[in-house]
Amino acid sequence: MTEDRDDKIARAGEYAMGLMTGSDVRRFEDDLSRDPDLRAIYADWAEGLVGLDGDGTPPPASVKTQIDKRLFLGASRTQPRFAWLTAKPMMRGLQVAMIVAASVGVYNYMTGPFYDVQAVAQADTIDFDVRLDVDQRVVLISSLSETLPDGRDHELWIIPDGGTPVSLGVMEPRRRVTVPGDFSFDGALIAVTIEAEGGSPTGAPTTAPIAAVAFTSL
Amino acid sequence: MSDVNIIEDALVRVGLKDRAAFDLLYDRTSAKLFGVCLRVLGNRAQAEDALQDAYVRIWNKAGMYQVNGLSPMTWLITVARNVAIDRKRRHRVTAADDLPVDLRDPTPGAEARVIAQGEQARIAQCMGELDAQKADAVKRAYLGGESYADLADFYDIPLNTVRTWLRRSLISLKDCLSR
Repeated sequence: MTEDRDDKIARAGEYAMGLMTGSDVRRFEDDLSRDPDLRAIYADWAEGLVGLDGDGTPPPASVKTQIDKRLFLGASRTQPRFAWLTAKPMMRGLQVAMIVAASVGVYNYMTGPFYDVQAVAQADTIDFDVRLDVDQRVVLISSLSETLPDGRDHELWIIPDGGTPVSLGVMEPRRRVTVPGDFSFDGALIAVTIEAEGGSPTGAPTTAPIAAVAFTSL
Repeated sequence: MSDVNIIEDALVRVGLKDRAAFDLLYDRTSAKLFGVCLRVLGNRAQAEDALQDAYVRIWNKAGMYQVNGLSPMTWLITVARNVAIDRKRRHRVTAADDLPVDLRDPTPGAEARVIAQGEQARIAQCMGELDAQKADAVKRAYLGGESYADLADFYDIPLNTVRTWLRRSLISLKDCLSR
């Protein structure tokens, strides 16, 4: 067996076991995306090591209740923050709102880069793709399916936990918006409203959200 | 449909945001993943929080499952381990309610019962071929989420030394697993 192959085996093993940290992880994942042989070695490791995990322990029922609260509409933690809009009829039209993981820490090749959050919200009227780069404090809008009639625009809002909506401006594909430096992402929501062309004249939402996504810190 | 197929089918459907599939997936896999979180964190409250985070991540990332070439259970376990290890390294809990975590035998009885099967038999046999201390270090790292620095502290040897001998052990272990 060559030294090179031994190194691949050892690195893939370190990665699969979670022993690798920092820049080593990034470098390994770059290699992983380029090297099918390394991917196969890593997959072998992952499949082999799970044999060490014994049988499980049933979690208490409260865990699933909490997960459902976090993931699906009606979460008690996020509901009060919609008080600014709950009286509006369009709220009932909100079909899907998903919690998005703003994960930090361990990078995982299989579940995507840790600083990058992808929110794909599908409501009756809109399908958009927003990414949040927590490190750079940048929100990226990469797609937006619907175009509105003249005189109307989609406006993006970010709402701090317990706070009032902060406008991130009118939504356009491939637009980058920098979030204010003192904004805390933990528990924040992103929402979209339909506003007058150029955005709400008042600086606050004037209609109910057609989509909303909560960011949670993992 | 076999268990593996049921889990795989549910995971694919979770990728399409199917809530019923998510409930099914949770029923079938949460005990296993909770065991993973408990072993890494050694603390029940922390493990429950980590399990929540793991399933939130599974819901959000299930669409990426098919691109990685892992079996569904391995993918799920990997997500749970990463969440738990991340939490462990961020929080470094030493709470009074820490469970005593026996890394030498994570699930006595249960493990013995199924040890004769497939992957478990193979890894157990290959771990048996390692020097006892090195096998223990591999388990500490994998099951307990310990880093090289943790292992260096535990065995009271320099970090680079731990790294060198653990890497050698990994090469031997992989060699055995590939036989």
